[in-house]
Amino acid sequence: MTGTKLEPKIHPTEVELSDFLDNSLAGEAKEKVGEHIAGCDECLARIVSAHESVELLKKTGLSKKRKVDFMKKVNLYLILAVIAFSLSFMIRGYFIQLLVATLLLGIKWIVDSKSTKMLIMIYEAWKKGGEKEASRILGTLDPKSKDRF
Amino acid sequence: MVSSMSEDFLKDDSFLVEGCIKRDLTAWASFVQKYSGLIFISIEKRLKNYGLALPRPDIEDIKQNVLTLLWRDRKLESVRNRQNIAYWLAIVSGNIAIEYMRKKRTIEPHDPISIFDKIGEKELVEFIPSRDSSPADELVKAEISKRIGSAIEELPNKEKLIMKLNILHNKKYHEIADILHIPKGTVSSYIKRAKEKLRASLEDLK
Repeated sequence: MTGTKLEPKIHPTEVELSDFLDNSLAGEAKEKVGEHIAGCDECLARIVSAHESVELLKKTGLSKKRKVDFMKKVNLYLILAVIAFSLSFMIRGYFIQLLVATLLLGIKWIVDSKSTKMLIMIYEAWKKGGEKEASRILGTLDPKSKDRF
Repeated sequence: MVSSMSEDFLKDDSFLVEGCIKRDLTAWASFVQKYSGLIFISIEKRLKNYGLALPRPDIEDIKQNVLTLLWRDRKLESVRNRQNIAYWLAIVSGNIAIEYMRKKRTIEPHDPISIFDKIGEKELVEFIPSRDSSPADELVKAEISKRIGSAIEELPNKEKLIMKLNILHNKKYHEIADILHIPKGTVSSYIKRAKEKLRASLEDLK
């Protein structure tokens, strides 16, 4: 392996690598990181991947596009749930089956939604940080957010 | 439309980052909304560098893992340039993705694509001093690739870095200039000089 033989033991930190990329390093610090990435294929790959990702996003505004895709997916489950619910009244023979389908699609819609994922994350943080952390986080919430979460 | 999205993406992040550090959930929700796309792409690109193409649901899983670690470990506190966290976030996301795959034992430590693998794909003719020594068979090609790879490692740091970006990562001159914040003309002269040295190091193949 090319990189392993030459690479110094200590890699630059994530902050140093990103500072190198956005040109906020100067002098010796910049030289040091430049020297390291010239000999370390792993850190060079880190820098190149990050640069490619940011450039791609700058060019295409992909964050919004992906958000739209995500919303489409979420709405799809909601629409299907509503359709199944309506059909359950129209097709009497499959009332229970369609109701179950409505329930499953509804659960899928709820579980996939962003706010649920965030709630799960907050719950995990609370569990990890204990009671003190929980009350501290709650204290930072404004009344509007409290209603939402 | 696209330009307004890009402008939004390039907006100063200090306020958002400060909010997340203070554990403001509204700021965190905006952060997630703004940067989910970047995290996703960074994971995808970094794993691609290891020759791994994961299905979308797996990348989504890693993305959730990145978000959880950012929140739980208060990683945003370490960012120095809070006005623009995009590069930092892309690097952190990529690193978490690699760690995640290593834990799953899908990839071994230290196995990104090496210069020796990559140089075989390039047109070797331009490095070979004599027209007679065309890289006709695979053995010759492999030997030349190895020789060029070693010769690149012997170059001075700046030339080595630029040649690796050019050959290993297929970067064009203007992209290298953008990554290293140097003029395109400088990149061009470094590459020219480095190629001359590489050709000279392969003189004995004549």
